[in-house]
Amino acid sequence: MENILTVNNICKSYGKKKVLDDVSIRIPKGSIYGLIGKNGAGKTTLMRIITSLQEPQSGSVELGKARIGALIDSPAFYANLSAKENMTAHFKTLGLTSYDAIDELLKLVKLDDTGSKAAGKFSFGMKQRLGIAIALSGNPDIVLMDEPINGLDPQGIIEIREIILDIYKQKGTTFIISSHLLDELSKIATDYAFIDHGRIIKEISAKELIEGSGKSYSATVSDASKVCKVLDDEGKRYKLISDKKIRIEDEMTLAGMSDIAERCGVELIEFTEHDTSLEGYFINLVEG
Amino acid sequence: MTRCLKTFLYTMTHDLTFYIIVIVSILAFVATYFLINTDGAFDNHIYIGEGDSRIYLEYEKEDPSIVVKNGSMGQTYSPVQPIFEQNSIDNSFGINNLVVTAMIYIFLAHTVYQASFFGRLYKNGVIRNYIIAGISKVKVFASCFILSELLLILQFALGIAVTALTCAIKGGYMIIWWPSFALCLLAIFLILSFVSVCVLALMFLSRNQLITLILPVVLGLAAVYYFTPEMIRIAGNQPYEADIEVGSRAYTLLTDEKNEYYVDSDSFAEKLYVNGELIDYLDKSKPNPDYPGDLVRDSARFFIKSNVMSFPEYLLMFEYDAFVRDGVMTQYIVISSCYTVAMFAVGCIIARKRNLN
Repeated sequence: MENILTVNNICKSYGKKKVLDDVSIRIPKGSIYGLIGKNGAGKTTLMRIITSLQEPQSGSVELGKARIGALIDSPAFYANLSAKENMTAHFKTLGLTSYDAIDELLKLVKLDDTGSKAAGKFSFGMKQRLGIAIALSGNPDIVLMDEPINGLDPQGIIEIREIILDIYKQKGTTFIISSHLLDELSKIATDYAFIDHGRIIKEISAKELIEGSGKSYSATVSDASKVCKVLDDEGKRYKLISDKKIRIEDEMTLAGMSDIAERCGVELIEFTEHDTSLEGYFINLVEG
Repeated sequence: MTRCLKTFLYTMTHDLTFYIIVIVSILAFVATYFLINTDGAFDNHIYIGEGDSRIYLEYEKEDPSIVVKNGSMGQTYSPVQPIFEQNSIDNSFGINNLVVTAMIYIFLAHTVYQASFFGRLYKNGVIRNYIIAGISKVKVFASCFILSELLLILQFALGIAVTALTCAIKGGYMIIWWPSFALCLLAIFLILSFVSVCVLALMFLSRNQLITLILPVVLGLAAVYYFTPEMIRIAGNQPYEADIEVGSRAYTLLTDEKNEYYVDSDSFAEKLYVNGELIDYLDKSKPNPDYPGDLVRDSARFFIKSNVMSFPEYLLMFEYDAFVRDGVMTQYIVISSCYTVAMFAVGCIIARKRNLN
């Protein structure tokens, strides 16, 4: 798949603290790219560098002729102006001469009925939606959103998700979204990058993530080799991790495992179910 | 940069505070007109004796319609008596003084508005929208500066128009010394531009609207305190407050068919002190042989820089002779231009280096 944006070997430090360490990612055109990482992992800094808000110490961002829209941190707008005036101002900033699309965008983010109310008096969700409308101004090829649903109520989260999916389906816009709400992100993202301590530790598509998932369990027993024989007899898929640890990649319950251990005459020391959600994948990845 | 300027203009004209500053500018000029609406004259006397026995050797009076009157009012003078010079200060403002005085008020309003308007770039994070739209930080900074200058020009133009209108309606003053006045306005504009660019650089450096709101007032007051009174003095006919010690000086009575004149007969020295500091020394060697009574003489002037002035104002304020105008203005213009350009360059570097948080 064609890449719309390539980040090559970006390094960035604040004083002695290295925030991004040789970060390289490739964003496929027409994807919703989820950027996942803990607080301070470097997600926002990476987004700032992509949007030219900050300069890297080394490395490059290849953007070609793609136009960028972004909602970084809090939505940025003139608090004393109305939603429509803010949009007009931003259209002027973008050098657009036709303002026809403003009403359409405001309708999309459900701010078309705010009239002359100053944006500073909007609710948090409305402000966030205005920020998204500003980011979507001028039909950008790529839209970056840094924690766009943070602090929103469930209804607000659903609205933002629907807006993103609408734009994605209608215009094929590429989105790069960072979020702590991984469950929510997993509902829309087509690709993921996991970032930790300033390094990209994994890039994976949603398809690969689903294919690679499937329930798995870890069992720690006093003698793994005896358990393996029973698992073979029962046709279960498993991996022998050590002489006491087995990873079972098939359906298994605690009761079932206890039964097998009893039949083998071994002691079941520990039985763990592995979380295969995005959150679980992330935790497994980061914490080993 | 055009895109940035268009957005700034759009947001400015959709902002209530913009109209407030326009009204403040107009009111400043109207109020100043009425506050100083007293006709008067600049008096300069050189005399001997005290009280009722005072004898004037030179009596100079200026008003807007008669630039200079010279007259000798005296009797025979005995050189052994001490000579005094008095520069009297009255509220004798020409219209040019009026305009310059009003500039003080509009300038303060301008700096506060400027800090408030551009401070929003950081306060609301709107600057991010400009950068993401592909406008560099330096271009944003330059646009801020250009818009600030446009606003100043608008305020100047408004001020002059309002004053002209007020004079037309209420009757007023003649504009005198037009070339000097125009130069004076340009010098004020450049000094205010320098302060403006300092304010903007400060905003990019601090990224804090409160600091950007407070410090401009301090800068503005400093500019008003140091620069504007000097401008008023030079632009108009208001005499300066200074103690002048007249050294050895003697007068000879000359007569023509109609008048009597006391003219300098000996070389003498004039020393000008400001705050007790000697800043100017004038050695007049002989009277003008072509026209007795003319104040223009062969003279030698020694400029002594005052130690009481400190950077940067000493560079701007080193001429205290109210009768030498254009030369001083040129110095003001050249130096304040240099400051503005240098500070603009510094501001660009600050804007360029500053990360956005």
